[in-house]
Amino acid sequence: MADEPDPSVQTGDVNPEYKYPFHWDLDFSLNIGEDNRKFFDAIEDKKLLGKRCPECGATFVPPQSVCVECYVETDEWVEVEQRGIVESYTACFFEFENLPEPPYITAAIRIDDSDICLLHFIDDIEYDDHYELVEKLHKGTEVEPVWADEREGHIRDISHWRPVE
Amino acid sequence: MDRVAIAGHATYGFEGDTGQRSDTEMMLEASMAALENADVTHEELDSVIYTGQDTYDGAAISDGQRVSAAGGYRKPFMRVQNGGGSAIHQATAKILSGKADIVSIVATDSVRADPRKLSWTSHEALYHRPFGQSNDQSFGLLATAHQEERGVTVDELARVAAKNYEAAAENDVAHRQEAYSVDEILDAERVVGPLTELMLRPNSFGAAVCVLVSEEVAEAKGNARSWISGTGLSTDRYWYREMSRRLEQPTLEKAAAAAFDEAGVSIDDVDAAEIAAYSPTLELTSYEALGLCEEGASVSLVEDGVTAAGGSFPVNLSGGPLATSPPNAGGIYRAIAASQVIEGELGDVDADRVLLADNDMHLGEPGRTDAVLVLEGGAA
Repeated sequence: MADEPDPSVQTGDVNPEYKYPFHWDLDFSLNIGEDNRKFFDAIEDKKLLGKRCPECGATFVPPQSVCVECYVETDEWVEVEQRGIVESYTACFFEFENLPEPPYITAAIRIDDSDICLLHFIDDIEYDDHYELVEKLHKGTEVEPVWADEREGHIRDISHWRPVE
Repeated sequence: MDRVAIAGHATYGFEGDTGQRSDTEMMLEASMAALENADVTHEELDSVIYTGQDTYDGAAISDGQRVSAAGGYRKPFMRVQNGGGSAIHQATAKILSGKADIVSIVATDSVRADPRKLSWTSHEALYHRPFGQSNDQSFGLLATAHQEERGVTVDELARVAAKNYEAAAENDVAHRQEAYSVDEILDAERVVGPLTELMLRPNSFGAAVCVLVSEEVAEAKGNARSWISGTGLSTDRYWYREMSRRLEQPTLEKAAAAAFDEAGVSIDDVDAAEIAAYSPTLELTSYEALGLCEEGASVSLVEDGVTAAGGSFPVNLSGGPLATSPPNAGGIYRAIAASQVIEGELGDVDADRVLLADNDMHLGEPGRTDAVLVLEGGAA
């Protein structure tokens, strides 16, 4: 990666090229709301929940508080089947901090008959060449979750998804 | 109906570095040059709109630090984060409503940041960010869908990029000015899915300023370079649904329809376009969303040279975002490029009407806002 800033450089230092390094070191917290809290409580128990629109019947996994099509509040919780369909996917060859060593697959997964997709990793794919990795999946590939042994109410309580045998 | 003119513009840069200049220095230079280009003084300027994002400014609520360089002190000063196209849309509305006669739109890019972190800060925190979802990842998901659902090949994607680099090689302001071949594009470092580094935009540094004036001012000063005859905006929801829907680019279609309606024209009346396509997939699908061709026929527009610099409908005579992509100033620069096409200063084309399709997708594809402008030639 070209011209990476050095996170160890402090704001008081000025480098020889007269560039002034700085970084933001801010912790943020986000109120996730009742819907997300209920979803993550369930995920800790290896359950997947969705929320349904009272007008059009669309189910949203992960839960949405409003149906954008109808603009009404969703009101019915449903436990959905732990199967998903790959809508699209991409292999990332780029290194992100605190993420898997590239290449890894991120996919938009439609869980059960959800009206929206959930992003997640897909793994447990055997391949020889990195570029071959992307040919192992297709739109419509059926996948299932692999649960983490220790769960704490976080989206990564699902370790990853894998193609159904 | 009263009209709004682009009366002046100026740029500083664009390169892979700022050449020792700070963002305010670059903005000041471009701003003064644009006012001079428009034949208006700082005193005559009624209002300033700054466009940028906190992460690419390196500071929060950052317009406060840029007011002086932009010439905005003691004047109405507004910040728009959706990109230059949206900012021009707002400036046009301000002039048409009678709130101002002369508005300057300014932006600058000088902050270099760590893409391992920065590129995913604009994404949703609970279900997207934990997986590294970023602007590039969102383009990768679309590219895969484009290949699987429309049968587009990686060679065809590379040919779109090569077409843009061929145009950029003739543009003195472009950041990437090399006419990369299809093979060079395919052999470049792989980033996401089928997309290589040369199928994704660089981070360009520099500044761009555009001065808009009312029809009354344009007539008095005779300074109209091009006319904004139609504008449209549309914003999508932030979540993933069917990828085929995203390939259809419904927000671009809606924004274009609004702009065409206001201008009283259709795509058939347009001669060329500048399109903010951050990957070849987005350029090809934009052809379809704008009505240049039927769904699935966009590749043939590139293969037949229709959208090349010498074609019957040139797209991105500037080279587009693959050649020059300052995150904050990109939309303003593309509007300048569109105006230059009409002025006869960019490309060898006789264009009376040029379309600008801008968006904020440098932050990623979900939740995007599309802005479309129709620019026309003609004297004041």
